[in-house]
Amino acid sequence: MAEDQNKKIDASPTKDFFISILVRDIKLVDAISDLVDNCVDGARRLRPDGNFNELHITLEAKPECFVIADNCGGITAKIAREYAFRFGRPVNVDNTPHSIGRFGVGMKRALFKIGEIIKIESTAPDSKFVIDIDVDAWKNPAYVDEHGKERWDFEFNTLEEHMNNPVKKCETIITVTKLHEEIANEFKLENFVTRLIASIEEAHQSAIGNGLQIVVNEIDLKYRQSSLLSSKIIQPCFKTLGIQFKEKPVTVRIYAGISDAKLADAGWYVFCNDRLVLRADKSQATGWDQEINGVHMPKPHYQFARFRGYVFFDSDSADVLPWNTTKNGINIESSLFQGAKLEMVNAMRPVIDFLNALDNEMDTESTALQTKVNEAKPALLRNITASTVFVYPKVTDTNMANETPKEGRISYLASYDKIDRIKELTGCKTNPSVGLATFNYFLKSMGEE
Amino acid sequence: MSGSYRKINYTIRPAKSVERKMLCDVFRRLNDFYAIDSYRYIGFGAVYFSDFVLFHRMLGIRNMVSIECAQSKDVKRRFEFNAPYKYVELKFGNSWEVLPTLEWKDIPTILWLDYDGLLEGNCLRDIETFFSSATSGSVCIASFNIQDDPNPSSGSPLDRLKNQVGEENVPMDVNASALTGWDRAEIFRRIINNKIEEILSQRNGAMPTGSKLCYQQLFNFHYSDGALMLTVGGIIYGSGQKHLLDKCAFNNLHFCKDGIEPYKIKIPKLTFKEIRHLDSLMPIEAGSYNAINIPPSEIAQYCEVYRYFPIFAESEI
Repeated sequence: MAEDQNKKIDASPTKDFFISILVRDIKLVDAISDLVDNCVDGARRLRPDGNFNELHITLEAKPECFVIADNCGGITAKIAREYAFRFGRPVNVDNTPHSIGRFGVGMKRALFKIGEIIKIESTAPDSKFVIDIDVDAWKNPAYVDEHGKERWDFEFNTLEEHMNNPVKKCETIITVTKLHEEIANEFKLENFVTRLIASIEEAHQSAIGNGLQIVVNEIDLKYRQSSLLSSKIIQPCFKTLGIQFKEKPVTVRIYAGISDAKLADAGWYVFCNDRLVLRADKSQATGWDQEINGVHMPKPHYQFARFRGYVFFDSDSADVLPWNTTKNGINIESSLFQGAKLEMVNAMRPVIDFLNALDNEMDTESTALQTKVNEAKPALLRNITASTVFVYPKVTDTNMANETPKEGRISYLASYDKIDRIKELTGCKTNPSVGLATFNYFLKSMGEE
Repeated sequence: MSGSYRKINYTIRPAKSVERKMLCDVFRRLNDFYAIDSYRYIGFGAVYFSDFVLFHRMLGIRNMVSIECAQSKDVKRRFEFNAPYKYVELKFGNSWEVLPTLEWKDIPTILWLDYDGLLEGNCLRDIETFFSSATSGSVCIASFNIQDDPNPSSGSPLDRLKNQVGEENVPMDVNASALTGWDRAEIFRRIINNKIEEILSQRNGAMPTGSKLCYQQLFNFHYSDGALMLTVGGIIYGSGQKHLLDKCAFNNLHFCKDGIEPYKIKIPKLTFKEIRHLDSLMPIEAGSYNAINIPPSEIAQYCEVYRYFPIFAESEI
């Protein structure tokens, strides 16, 4: 017997691993987004048709407390008892189709990251409960059962079951107080709240678009609609692939095209079940700066600041999707993603070719391509019709050659002394506006205008 | 810093002149942190160096740096020619390039970023440099002309603001209507204060409790010398030095403003004779304005600024 004991190696986790180690791997903004994910999943369970009107998530991030409240269905006592507070997702738990809460780690990790006193109040159709967690007391080695064994459970503070609550009354309110000092310091900063809002608006744009109201510190979040420039002769690429991955159906939608010239926003956007997990990526992960199947992809550079690509992975089985657990990146090794990446590169190459041509045009007197870009209008992704490739004008197109350009570019160098003097006289603040003002001034002085 | 010195002779902008002297009055109180003549002054002296002359004469500051973004030799020579004292060291380049090259450690500094344009990303870089490097007791001030470009290149005023300062620095509840007239000044102040708090929070992260740095806003001037001008700024101090800050008693100066409410510098229009007359009556009770044959609004304004009021006269020196 003693020998048997000696052969055993302790591999059990420690509470500290969950409370102070795991939390280091996630940024605060991402941790809060994770909590929002749970609410969005609630909304999906409640309204499988995806109409989230009258559902809301309200967040309050203040130095003294953090609150997230929603009316997206509540947590049932059964779920709380068997699953919601487990570390990791038990294998036998039913899936919410199309869910974004996946790993059974988000809520706990987020709450531990934020503070020490946690209160969870939830009203579900058949139950109502309150749970109070004092993290410090919970991790105390003295918190043991009657056999002296470390206790891993939490307790309901109050619990009512077999109820019949109307869906409209179902809600969850999570309050965290005694915040960790560095978290309270972040919540003090308006710039943090600005970042948080921008991040949630992007990550959950589809839920917001479906009518889910999200409020952070009393600011209503806006629906950020992704769009690509489109016209008769510039058409974004949009293709849909149906993939059977690990015997589970996955739909991949790929959009590629051009938008405003803003390098910070240029790149690939990857969504898993409509949740943004990677934004404006310009790294090798999404195919930049490498050769794939003989197609050479460039390094990101300002001339590609107009490039935008959107990839949506959708599946009822969230476990096959290529996200990482912090949902701020992709699992690059996923063969599903590797397969999609080839298609992304194919979709991207023509856009890069066009942007190179547009860049070359800057060195010439022609503005034919630029004019076509200026004429194109932003089209929302959902309004873009299928096109297996990005359609774009070429300088050699016959219709381009025949067309007399409506606008021409004038550029010249002038000394800063003189430019500054004109700025003083006209109140212009930028060099292009000096150019335009003097041009118009000349026309006016000649009586032309 | 760039060209506007050729448009206006800074020494004769009356509100600017009042502002300069008010600042000087505040700086004098910094003595509780460090002897005021041991401070370094960094500014954009242009060719007039009015601020440098004033702070040297009134405060005895000798360590002075003027930043100018002149490129050509001729222009540089003109700046050098006009430097009022050998104490003034000229640094040529953009402020955001020069400031990080300066030594900051243990040198109490007064920095006046007297921009003559709108708030831009580079201004925030200067503010970042100061607040990530300056020592306790240092003061940073920034001035802006808040009027928009009359020939804006493109987009809405909000889009332009986001382009100029970076979207991540624009609070989410700012809307287009908040960007007209003086409201724009308040947005600038908020963006700057947010940046300061963010930088200090990062800087304080690794510091022991007693030496964490705090920011106290002292200035929120609005005035109009032809253009709508905003000046904001304040002092950084160690949290253990609150008593020194209290001793400075900045609040006793009626133009020191620590929040959203601005101090509006207004210049009354008075004749020399009226000025001398009003001076002789100081202090004037508000109730007695009507007994004086000068519009009460002008008297009230004069009472607020008379100690700083410039008198311009034509002269052959």
